[in-house]
Amino acid sequence: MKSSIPSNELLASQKSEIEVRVDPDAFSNWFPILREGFLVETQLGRNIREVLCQEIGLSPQYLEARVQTVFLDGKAIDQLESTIITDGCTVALSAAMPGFVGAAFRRGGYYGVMRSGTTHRPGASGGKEERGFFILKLFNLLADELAGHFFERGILMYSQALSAFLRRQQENFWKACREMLVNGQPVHANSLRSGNENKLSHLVLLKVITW
Amino acid sequence: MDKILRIDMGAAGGPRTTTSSIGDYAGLGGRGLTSAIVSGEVPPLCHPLGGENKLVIAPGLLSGTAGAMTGRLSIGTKSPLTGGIKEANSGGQAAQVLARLGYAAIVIEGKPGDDTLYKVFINKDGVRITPDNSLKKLPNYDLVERMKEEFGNKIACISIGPAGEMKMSAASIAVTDMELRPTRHAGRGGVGAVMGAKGIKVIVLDDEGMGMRTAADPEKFKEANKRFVDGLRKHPVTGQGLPAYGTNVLTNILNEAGGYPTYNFKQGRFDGAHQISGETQAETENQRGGAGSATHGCHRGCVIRCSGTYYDKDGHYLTKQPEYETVWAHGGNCGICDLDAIAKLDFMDDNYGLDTIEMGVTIGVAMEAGLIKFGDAEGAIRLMEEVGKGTPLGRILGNGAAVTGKVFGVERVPVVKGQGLPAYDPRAVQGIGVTYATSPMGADHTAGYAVTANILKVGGSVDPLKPEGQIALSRDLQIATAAIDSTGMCLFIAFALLDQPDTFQAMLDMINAFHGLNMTAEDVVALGKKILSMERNFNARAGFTAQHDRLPRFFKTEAIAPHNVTFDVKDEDLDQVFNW
Repeated sequence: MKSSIPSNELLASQKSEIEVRVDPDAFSNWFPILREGFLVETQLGRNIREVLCQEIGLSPQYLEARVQTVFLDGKAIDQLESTIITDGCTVALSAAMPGFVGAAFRRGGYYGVMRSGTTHRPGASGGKEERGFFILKLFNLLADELAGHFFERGILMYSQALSAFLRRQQENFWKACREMLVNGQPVHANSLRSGNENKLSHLVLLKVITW
Repeated sequence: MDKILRIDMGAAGGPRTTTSSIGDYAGLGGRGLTSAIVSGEVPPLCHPLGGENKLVIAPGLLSGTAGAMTGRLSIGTKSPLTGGIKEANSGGQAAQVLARLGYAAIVIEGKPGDDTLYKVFINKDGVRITPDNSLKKLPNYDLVERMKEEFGNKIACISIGPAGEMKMSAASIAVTDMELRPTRHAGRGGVGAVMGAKGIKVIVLDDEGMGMRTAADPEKFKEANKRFVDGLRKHPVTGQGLPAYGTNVLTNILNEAGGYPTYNFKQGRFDGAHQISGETQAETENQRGGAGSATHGCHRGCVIRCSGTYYDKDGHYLTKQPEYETVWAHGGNCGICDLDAIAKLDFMDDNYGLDTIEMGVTIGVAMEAGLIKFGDAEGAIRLMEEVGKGTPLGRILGNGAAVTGKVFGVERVPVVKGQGLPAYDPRAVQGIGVTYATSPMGADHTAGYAVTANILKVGGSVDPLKPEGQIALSRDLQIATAAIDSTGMCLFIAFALLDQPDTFQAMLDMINAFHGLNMTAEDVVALGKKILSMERNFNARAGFTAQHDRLPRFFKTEAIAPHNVTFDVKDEDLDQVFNW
């Protein structure tokens, strides 16, 4: 997913709504979307903690205990409170990682100095306090644990990215899709399988619910 | 575990064995023991493939016990790849079996006068060495099948493939796993070439009739082991992340951080990373199913179970679950994003007996040289076949990245002391660059892996936010790693030790209860320093100077995308790493 987002256009654009009902044991087939990143609309200029807890709805306890590694535009974050979400930025979240390097990337960790050249340095907030979008990526255990939260309320993504994801799926993926609705109307899997994003709006709100 | 078996392969009339008490080496195990023997007994200026070099195989201090995670085997020698001292480390069953047979180490000395190939069989009744030229050029999987036919399936094997017989500097020594497959390797430094030079194809171990080693204080040992296991299971890395995804869970993280070396260290991100990540790998394995698919241990007594078994789409066994370093080396480093192709390359490494990191780095250099294009998985497989066959090109590639780079005139050759860099770009993670540069082992990601330094407080309290922090932390990590490598414990326990001081104390209590000791954290530090000092001393006598403790120049001159950073730790600071 591209990180350059014309927020004004996105805010104003139509969104197609796709709802898919899948077998529970096939829910994880959709997790790659969470790892590759999806769009989140937010109030710009707020810090990461505020956005994750107050807007997205993660509990502070979960954030503290499970979200051990955070990147903003590829740079490791130590202080969630002093790191501001800006228009078009990319935020990636991960659980604690193994190895020395995993420990080095952990936020606020003892070994953070080992990646000093790639640490995000908080600047003045000064961002515009308006609505905008950022890209959120969820890796490893966090994708597993938060998939229900995000897919139930729906995630925003470009229809082109969704089509690319769907095009590379195999037969067993489609067998596990029990029902598909586009803008509330049932559709046959083939209509999405062909990856014909032209019939969709530029943006898609994707909901995936276990059957 | 109080005796040392010495095998003189150069003795008149054929190989001769002697068994002696551990003597002056008492109290040492694993890397501590291999490095003590190599440092003390091997002439530092000897040829690594000559009769003066020795190959030392040692289980750890706790191997062969009921203790969890104690199955690591250390193999030490003078390395044909680096020219310095080497300890390569492997999982699998052999450490447990060797320890139960009572051996603290096997020391292989001398060199046969001809090219006869030998097999060694060790059980409770003794040692039998027989010539067997029918084993010549057998790859590891076929070799182990032959050993099963001959000795049954209750054995553990330590073996070399064709690469070791051809004395290639990237040759590994294979150790069989719980399924008696040769999937675990003492990979780094060309230890397989030394075993090949000694004329030994395989060491077969059979511990039938031998029980678990018993502790000096069994009750205390049992109780400490329980606390240790509980600590590992409750930690999110050792209890959840590693079992679910294996070490390859790091792919997405390193890629996001811009520290994932791609196209022979040209850039820090790989567009195809999501196709070969640990998450994708685990999902693929789970979908395909099969025994031990996504979560499996590499030896009995492992409670982390970070490994797995990789089957093809039709359910046929392809290889064990490739590790993060393997997936990176054959994957992102070479621009390959096909997990099945990477699994095939991993199998070829294991079967021919080659270090996956060295071969991936070497193929990356070959791609840079234009032998094949980046991303050409079929071409990479063809190059590996050349190595297995021992063609002239294969001989070049099988001797590693440094040789390949020199032969083909490549400037960007990512090696330190001749050994290929692992899967973390030192420009994005400067601290690991310090360890790559200064480790006595050459570029080695595990040399400073034991993230326990803040608990051990090695060398006093370090302020990691000061500029000298990276030097001090690398020093502390190397000390802690050397000590843990002596226990026979898997380094992955370190993640739980980092966060949970009570788990670290449980590990210490296990060692103390087993051996009747009263070791403290300070004693662990002293042991780590002693090992590193022996290793540094050997290397100094072998001709290594401060100039060998450097990264290749391009890491200082070529900024890596996306963060456009270079390695900027000063040389004079690198020279302070071992000033304690």
